[in-house]
Amino acid sequence: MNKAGRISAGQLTALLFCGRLSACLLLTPDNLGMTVSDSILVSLVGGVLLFLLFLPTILVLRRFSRCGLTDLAYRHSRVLGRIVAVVYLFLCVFILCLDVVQFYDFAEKSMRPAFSVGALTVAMVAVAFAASFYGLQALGRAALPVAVFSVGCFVAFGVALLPQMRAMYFSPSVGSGAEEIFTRALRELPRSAEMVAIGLLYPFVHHSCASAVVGLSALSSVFTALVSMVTVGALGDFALLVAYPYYAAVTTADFGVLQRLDSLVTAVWLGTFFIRMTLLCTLFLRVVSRLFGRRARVSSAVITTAFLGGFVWLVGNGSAVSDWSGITVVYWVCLITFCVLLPPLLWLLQRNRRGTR
Amino acid sequence: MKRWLAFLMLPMLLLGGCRFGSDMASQVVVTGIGIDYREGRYLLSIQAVEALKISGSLSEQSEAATTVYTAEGGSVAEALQAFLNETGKNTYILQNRILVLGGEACRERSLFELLDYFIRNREGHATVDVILCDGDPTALLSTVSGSDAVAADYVSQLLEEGNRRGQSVSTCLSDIERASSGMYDAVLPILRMEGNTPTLAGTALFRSGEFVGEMSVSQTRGLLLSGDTPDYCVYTTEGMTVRCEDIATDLTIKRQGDSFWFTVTISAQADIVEGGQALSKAERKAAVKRAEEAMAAEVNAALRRAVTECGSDPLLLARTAAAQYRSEGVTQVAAQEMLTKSRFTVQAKLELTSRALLK
Repeated sequence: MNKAGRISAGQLTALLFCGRLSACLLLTPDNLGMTVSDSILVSLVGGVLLFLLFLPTILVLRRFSRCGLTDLAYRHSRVLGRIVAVVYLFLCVFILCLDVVQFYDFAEKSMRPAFSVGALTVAMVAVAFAASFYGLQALGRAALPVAVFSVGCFVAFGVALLPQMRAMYFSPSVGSGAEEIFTRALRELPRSAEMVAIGLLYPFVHHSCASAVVGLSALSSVFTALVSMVTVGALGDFALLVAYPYYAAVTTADFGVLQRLDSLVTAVWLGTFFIRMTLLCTLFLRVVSRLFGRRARVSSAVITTAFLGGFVWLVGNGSAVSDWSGITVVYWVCLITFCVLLPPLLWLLQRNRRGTR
Repeated sequence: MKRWLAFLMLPMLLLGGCRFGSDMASQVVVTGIGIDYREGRYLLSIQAVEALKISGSLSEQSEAATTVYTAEGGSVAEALQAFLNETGKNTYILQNRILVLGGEACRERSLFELLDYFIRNREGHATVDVILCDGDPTALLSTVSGSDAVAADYVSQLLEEGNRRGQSVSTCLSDIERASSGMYDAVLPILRMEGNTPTLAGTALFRSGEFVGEMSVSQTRGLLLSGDTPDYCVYTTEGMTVRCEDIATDLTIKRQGDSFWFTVTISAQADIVEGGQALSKAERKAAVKRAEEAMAAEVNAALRRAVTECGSDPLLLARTAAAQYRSEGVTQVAAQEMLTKSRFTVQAKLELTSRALLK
């Protein structure tokens, strides 16, 4: 592994945190905590779940030097390696499909641009693929300022919304029960499904991923709670009536000379979403070059962009897919398979192989 | 070289916005919109600045820099379309400052129906002021002010200052949006045309978007004192004028069977601004006591008018009560029903500033 192509733990945190920020911005009414306690508990449970999901991968991969899950599978046998790589390839395409649907849905419902949203989506995918050719390190470097800028904007949005916030806008009813809180956390977490790819990212990180994962879980919890509280504090029950409540809340505020903040929200969203998509595209191309060699990268990028364009064109308005609750189940199956089951399974196979030798 | 080229090309990215640019002559910059409803038709009054007709800054205009157009249609969108058909000009509503609803329109149609087009339309501001005009909205938008070339600016300032003094509620479009969720009831400031001058004439009360009644200017002050407190307010009692500042309101709720008993305590710093010289310290204190009584009476009258008589809940009282008694199973809907039977006790505590006592 080339040392120059690796990223620091901080850059990894920034990369994955950008994905979480973009998900926070598109918080849906289903996942809002209508009371302060709900907001805090849902995000806390989400943070703990996030940490627990990363734990098996970290515990397994720390035993092997500079080794990702595909590398581990390849170590066992070439066939298993290829199978795991192909499954990861499909996983990346699956997550990219859902990401473009989310992108289309938000752009269509909130931005309402005067040009084709489908064309914008395809352009976004093409740019993400083009950027992914610069490598993970370049992306890691880009993610840090984007994350810092986005956090700054989120703070500015919070300050701008402060005069509109009222304690009485939170629901007067008793907070949700444990089951409801757990369900909301389960629904919220898969919306940044690029986390599944931690098994591929691990070998590219200097030292240990553990600090990055702890930082990400903590930051994610704090931000989800803050965004939820700011949204409900500013909009109250009205937050349940709009598709993207946080966006709706921010558009009602102004900040200094900025009379409208929606362009800033859009900039933050595009920035964080771009990082999130480029990360997936980078991992996708890594797997492609592992399977078919470096030369296949360009053609696969073009084919996948065309496929995603066709997917957006076929699906059209993404709400049909994004509203489908079955998607959450599929997300969780992927998360559990790739984060919880696959790492110990590969470790056991590796151990058996050593034992038989 | 490549870097320099990229750096030089960077500003060109901004030119992307030019693609959707439109000719200044083909649009009017809307500064105020009036909506009225008569005989099943929406009547729209559009106050607009025509960029090509004005020169210099708007503040330097010697007379009104705006023109008021009228259009009619089966809905607001249709009326705007009719305006486009008649004038050939598009409306640019980002600079819109006020939405003026006709009194008749508010009585006949739901507030949410009247404003639905603007709630859905993301081109305008969510912070635009919403007003009820007791009279013709076109007349209000045609007002010529000596200080402002744009009437909408004048009306907007009138409302802002009125709100600071406790003379008028301040409601923007996002407040109406929030009210549509049933969390609280919207209220609108009423402006009445007296000759050619708009004056603050109280508050319109709504229940679930339907007009349910009006409040006088003094009741409006009572409403503001019991919730969204004004910056200051002035009371004149028997030759002495008291100015109240640093106003704070405290609300306590007690459940009494199927109703609530609200106790509102208003505390403020009082200063004598006129007529206190000839009075002794004791007489001043007595005058302040009378101001306290007047304040308490105003707040009481406002709460009774809004909540008990009209059934409106602009102060989130049902939500506050439901939050306090949630352990007893009181929901917001149940609290709303109990609200109309509620009792109110209001106490005002004015503390004379040391400056007031010295004079």
